[in-house]
Amino acid sequence: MKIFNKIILGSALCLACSCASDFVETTPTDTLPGESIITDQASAESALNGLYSAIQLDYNFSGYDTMLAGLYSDELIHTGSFPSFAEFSVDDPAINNIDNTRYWNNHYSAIYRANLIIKFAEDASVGLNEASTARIVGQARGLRALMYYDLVKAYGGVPLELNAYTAATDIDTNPIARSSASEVYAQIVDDVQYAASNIPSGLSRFNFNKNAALVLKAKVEMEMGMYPEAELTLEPLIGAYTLEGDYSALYTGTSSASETIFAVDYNETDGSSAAFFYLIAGRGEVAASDILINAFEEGDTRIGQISSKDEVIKYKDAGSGSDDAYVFRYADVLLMYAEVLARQDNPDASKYINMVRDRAELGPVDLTSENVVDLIAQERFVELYAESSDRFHTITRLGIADEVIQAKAGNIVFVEARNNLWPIPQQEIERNSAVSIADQNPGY
Amino acid sequence: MKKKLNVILTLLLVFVVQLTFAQEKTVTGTVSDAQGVPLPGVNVIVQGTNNGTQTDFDGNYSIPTAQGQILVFSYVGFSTQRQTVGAASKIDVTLAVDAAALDEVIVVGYGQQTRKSLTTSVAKVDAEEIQNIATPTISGALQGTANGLQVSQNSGIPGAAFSVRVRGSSSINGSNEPLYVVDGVPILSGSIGNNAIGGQSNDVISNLNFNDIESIQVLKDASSAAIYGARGANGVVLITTKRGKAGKLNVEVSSYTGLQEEINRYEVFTAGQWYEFGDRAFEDAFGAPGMLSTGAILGVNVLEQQGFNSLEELYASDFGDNYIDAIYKDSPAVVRQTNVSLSGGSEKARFYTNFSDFNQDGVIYGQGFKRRSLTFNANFKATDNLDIEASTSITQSENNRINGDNNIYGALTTAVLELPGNDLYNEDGTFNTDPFNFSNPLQNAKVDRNSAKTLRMFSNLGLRYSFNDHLNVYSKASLERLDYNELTFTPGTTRRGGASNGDSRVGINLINRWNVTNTLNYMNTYGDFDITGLLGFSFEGTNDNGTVVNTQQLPAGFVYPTGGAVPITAQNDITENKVFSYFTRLGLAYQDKLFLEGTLRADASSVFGTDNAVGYFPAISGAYVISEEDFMKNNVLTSLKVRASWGQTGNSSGIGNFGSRFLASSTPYAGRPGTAISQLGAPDLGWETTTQTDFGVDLTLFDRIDVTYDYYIKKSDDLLLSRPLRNSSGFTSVAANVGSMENIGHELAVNARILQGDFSWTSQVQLAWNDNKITALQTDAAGENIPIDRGFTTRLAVGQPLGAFFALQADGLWQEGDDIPAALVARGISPGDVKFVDQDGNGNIDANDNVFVGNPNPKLTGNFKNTFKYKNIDLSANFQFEEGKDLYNNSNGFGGASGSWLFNKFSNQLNYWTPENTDTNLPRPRYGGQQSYNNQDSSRFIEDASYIRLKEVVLGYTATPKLFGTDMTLRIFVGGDNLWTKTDYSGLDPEVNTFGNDNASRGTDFFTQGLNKIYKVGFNLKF
Repeated sequence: MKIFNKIILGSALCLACSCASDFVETTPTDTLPGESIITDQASAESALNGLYSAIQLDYNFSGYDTMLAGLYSDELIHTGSFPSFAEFSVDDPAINNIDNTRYWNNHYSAIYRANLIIKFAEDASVGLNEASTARIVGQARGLRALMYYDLVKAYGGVPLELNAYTAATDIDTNPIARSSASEVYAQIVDDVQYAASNIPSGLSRFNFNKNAALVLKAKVEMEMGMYPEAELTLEPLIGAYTLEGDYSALYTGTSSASETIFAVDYNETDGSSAAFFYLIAGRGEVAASDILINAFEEGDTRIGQISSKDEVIKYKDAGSGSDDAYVFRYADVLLMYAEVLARQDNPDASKYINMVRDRAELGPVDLTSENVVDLIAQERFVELYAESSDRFHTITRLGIADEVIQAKAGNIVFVEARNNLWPIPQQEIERNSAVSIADQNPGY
Repeated sequence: MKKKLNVILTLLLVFVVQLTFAQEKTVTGTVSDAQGVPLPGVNVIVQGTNNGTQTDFDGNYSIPTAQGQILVFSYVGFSTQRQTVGAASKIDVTLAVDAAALDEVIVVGYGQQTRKSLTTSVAKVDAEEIQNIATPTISGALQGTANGLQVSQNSGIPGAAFSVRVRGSSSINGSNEPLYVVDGVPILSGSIGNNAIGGQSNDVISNLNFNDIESIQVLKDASSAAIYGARGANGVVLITTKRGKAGKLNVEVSSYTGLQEEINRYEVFTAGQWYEFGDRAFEDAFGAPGMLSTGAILGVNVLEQQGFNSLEELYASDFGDNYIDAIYKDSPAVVRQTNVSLSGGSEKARFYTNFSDFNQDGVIYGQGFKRRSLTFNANFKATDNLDIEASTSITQSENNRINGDNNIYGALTTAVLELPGNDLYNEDGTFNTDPFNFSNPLQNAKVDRNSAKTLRMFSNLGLRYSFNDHLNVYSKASLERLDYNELTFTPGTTRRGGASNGDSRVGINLINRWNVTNTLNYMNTYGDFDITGLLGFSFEGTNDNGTVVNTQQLPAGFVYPTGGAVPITAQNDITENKVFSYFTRLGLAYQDKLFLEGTLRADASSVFGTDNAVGYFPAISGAYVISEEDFMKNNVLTSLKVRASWGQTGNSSGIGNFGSRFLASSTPYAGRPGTAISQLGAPDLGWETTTQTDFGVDLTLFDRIDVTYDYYIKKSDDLLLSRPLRNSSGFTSVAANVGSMENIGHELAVNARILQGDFSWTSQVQLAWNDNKITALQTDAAGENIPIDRGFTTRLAVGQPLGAFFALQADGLWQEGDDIPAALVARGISPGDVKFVDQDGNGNIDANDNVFVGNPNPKLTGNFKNTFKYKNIDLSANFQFEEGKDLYNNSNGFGGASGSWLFNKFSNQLNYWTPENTDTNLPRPRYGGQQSYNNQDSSRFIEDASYIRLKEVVLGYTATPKLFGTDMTLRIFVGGDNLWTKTDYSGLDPEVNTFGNDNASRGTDFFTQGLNKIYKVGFNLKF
């Protein structure tokens, strides 16, 4: 009896006094402490892949991007049930349109990951050698530029976030105002310059390689009307790639080895949303517009990527979404090069546009500074439809967006004051004390 | 705090050793009722001690006691009697029937009390009331039986989850389900697994065999639940299991079989009606008649194909299979249960054992729930001072489900919406897939597969060591193990599986829960005062080891993930949480009429943020039994007690195991390993606190009518919400404790024994009113509360109830001659389109015109039960009702007149507007922008879903035959569940809820399967 009392007393006291905070310690197995994300070479490489994973996000290159841009321009029509898509199809996204908000959020998610790498990779305690730093930071800055390019095209000037905060309170105390579009472009140029001169050659087409940096740089230069500079930027790429012989060979799920400059890699286990939404076997949420279908010249083989049910079938795998997404490919570069030459009245311009037309089994055209806008807009439309938001980017760059959008069928809402920009998401205005309703794009 | 408790504990233990022991003697006797029939199972205890026994089968007892001590004889339904032990060693007692049942034993947290001494609000349900309700889930049995609980079945799928709300909802992002405690041990509850089948989630509680249950107590106010600390805020369901009783062997065999039939079945347009609707929509848009029928839209000229001569002939016809009738089984689905238990033992050792088998088929193909369970428990009196109890139960279950609800592969969903006029099978007997927009409804029901197998083991061991009659130590250890194995298989022959050429996913969760609880219990009488004390601490933890394997491109015939198939996911993850707690309770009673009680619990939990490591939850309560006073003795108000309680409870369920940590996750880039910051840290994250005040009255009139009334004010603060962050930072939110919500309500229960004697009639009315309101949310920089949008139309806003619907207000249709605003005319709106109220008067209809148009929370819930007995015959009927709640019938957004032409329509939408038929509220068939306009979320889809339902009706006959020389009690019964429902709701069932597990977006119906009527027959045999 006494022994029993003692055991109970003893064990009760022992348990009661043991430290509660030690007892309740737990460790997650499928996550790491946030502090340890970049501590050495290997973890920096992982963080870089993590950034590419953000480039894969729905609204970056996973299909929602091309669908929204395609609906907003004249490429696609809305055949599904998402009201938020319907708003884009009539060019009237509400300030709280969920897709518009997510487009914004996804791009800033990627920018955060890039900023984090840029911030830590150069930290001496991480111990990266110079070459690794140049390679890793070069890609991070290149991808950041790519994200800001998408943002500035859709919204004009945006808050230029270059920091990566690790505590919520730091975010609260550091609001950021909208920069002007030219400030955003200046940052893009700065990042792309760094990328172009620091990224080593030899990176795969699934990485933001040196040539990708050059293409993006040229796009920005063309945006600013700096055609001679763009010509110089693009020059080293001409002849460095070859077009696939057959247009359909581009859309087999795996991006072309010969024609791709930069593509986002998707596979069965890490798929894109594109095919599921484009194909009737999936949701059939969007379809090719009559304007797009009618844009093809007789005999153009490129119409083969539109099905008899008007589906865009560039993305094939509705089940697991393994289709790669092109960011930059050689045909795009040839059309850019043709354009910058034509703008400078260089007679070689036609040669490059006709390389692209020839592959499509179409006869040659004569590209001049007179017809450059019409011919380039047309050729880019039928060559690059439903890829990398090109139609939207092109019509806004060429200054033909107003007429293109007003020519759309259906009850589209055209408000000139909007300047063909999307609304700054309501959430950003509510949550960023440095952005007020007065900073909203005009017309919204 | 912790230190103080340690000191008290030590002092109490030291104090024990110095106590002296009284001179012992043993008293024996017989307890019988007024007719002289011996009463088995009467509790006999020495007052102020834990020393007690029970009478045996012949009403005999034997108890060690001492002269001068008081023996208390108590038995459910009888008045408690006290006898002072004198010189005699034999005390025979006759117990009188006590209607008021003030001495009924009520189980509370870590102990038990009598109904009379209860200072808090506790609802009790006895096993007999629920044992034959044909549901696998204990929560289902609480529906319409325990007052103050709103229980609703989220769908009619066998094994589907119930939602249980004790006095309303108190959390937005945490759980609102009560804590379930079995024999003093908190158990796993909630849903588990992937459930990526669009339909309804399952419920771990369905693995409890409720034939093992003796009684259920629900702790409703904060004062009773505060002893469960950070998990008590949603109330606590205390389940006490059956134990063997000393005496002869008791055998009980019971069984029932029921036939089920859905309470309601959707009806849709005929093929002809659908083509007419579509033709009208396209003619309206493009000006040409018959476009859908003649192939301009679908490429198939149905008019020709079916050989009709005119559109009128086509419109009047029907062809193709009836999809809805096809997916329901031809013969009624069976539900049955068989249950065998043996129990018995001696004073020293008692046992109880049970085998139970439950099987419920679904009314739709592909659905079913099966469960088998074994229970064994035993109580030993090892020495005079040491009691040992051990129990173990094992349950196996299998739940088969198919896609449902918000899912284009759902059988019911596609049976309604799919293109009519097609055959389900090809001529060669294979499923016809091509003509369907999404998928073949019957194939969805018969071929897709989701099968979840569960093995649950629950064992516990308890030791009670009594130092003397006043003080004991109780130590309990328990282990719970749940193995969950869920297969989701989509074959390559289906539309959905075609793209991946077959998809198979297996999710396995191995969950261990362990709990060690030690309590020190003290009770004593000092003159007019009775004192009870409790001091305890517990450790517990839950460890969930989850594995997911998913492969595609399966070889023909393969069902499970197999080698060589393309792996999509293969991962294993272990997640756990741990809680360490101290708790104490002190009770004081004066002359058995004034009662006072205080409790305190301290919880340290692994889920709390580092800046907020320990939570304290205090409570205090009191009661005054006024009828004990001489001045109150009268024949009208035969019993009167008033109660008041206040307390604080917590809810930590919303935090998640690692919700407060700064984390980086694996985010690969197409096979290249990657990492990214996935969550910013929230070191100040803590539990949600609910503070509740309760006032109650228990009274009895004429010894016949018991009335219990409670009024409560329940305020919940520090609700876990996502605190929004500037989106351009790369993060959109971080978890924080910011919101507040309140529930104020009344509960009234009346039990009347209207007639007694040969013909008896008892009547019960239980009513619970609750008013829920959100009182604070995250505020923006200007101090304005930021509303939160959830589900389809749900908006959380300050001043509104949780889950309120926010949409346009519809006001009938525009008619010829109406002055339609120019902005709407410009959008193509014309007579026959929906007239929405332009709240902001800007001439157009946009998001600024949304207003609150409905509330999914019932104002009043309750039940009305009558039981009649005449000699051996008994008849009972229980009606359950909910009043003043709305449902958002999202099914009508697709199958309604404003839905896209693509979908088939409900028959009740046939009266749509046409130029010839204008006297209607159903809009005209439209295509494109005008169709979307009419179909906007609006009050058109909000319906009053109040209902009254005959939950259960049972007619029984009890006989006492002597078979094989043994006295037996045999009760046979016939009955039915859900046989009658009265509601204005136009969907299948007003009780269902698509988002069963979501707190905020409650009250939505999206092709959710309704409940079933069950016709049952069964027997209970005891000997």
